[in-house]
Amino acid sequence: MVLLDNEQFLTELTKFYQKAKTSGTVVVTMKRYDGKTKPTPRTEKKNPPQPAEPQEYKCLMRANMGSKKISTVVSPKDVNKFQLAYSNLIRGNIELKKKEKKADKTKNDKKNSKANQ
Amino acid sequence: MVYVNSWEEFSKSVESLYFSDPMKFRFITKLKANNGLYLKVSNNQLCYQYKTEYAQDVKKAEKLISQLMRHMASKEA
Repeated sequence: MVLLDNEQFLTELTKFYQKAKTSGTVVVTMKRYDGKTKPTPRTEKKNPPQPAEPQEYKCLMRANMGSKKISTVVSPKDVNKFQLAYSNLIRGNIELKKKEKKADKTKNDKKNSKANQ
Repeated sequence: MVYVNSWEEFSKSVESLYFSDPMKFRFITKLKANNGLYLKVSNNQLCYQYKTEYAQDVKKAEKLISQLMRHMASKEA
């Protein structure tokens, strides 16, 4: 797992989505992150919980495609910027069918791809 | 695996699952080439999934993700 900064993460994720247009699967996981990397011990009586620090929640983003894994942590001060960029990325790169009608355009696509070869 | 059929139902379930325990909640977006978009949320106890092949759901998903992201990176739940 490679921890990237926000912008690098978005660039890499765009590449993943571009590749996934032909083949492959991209998985993106989003989770709240409080900075802890170890689980809280079960025996709370022996280890009284630390006095609560002023907590700052962040957002952890992980993405993987095949064996490539990337991740980034979005802090509250960057969340506006990141969220806008991420939304644009989704809109621009996840392309699905437009209508629910059974339009069959695959024939034209096949012709085009043959012409290109 | 059980899929939720309507978007309204899915987004409501997602919100209630998130607010029940924000730290345990995760949101998974899976895009399969030529095979549609899969959304999944889980807190290791409950799990909801939604599957779509249409562009109109991408916009809805994007809005839901944006909202959740803002909740996650804020001080309150």
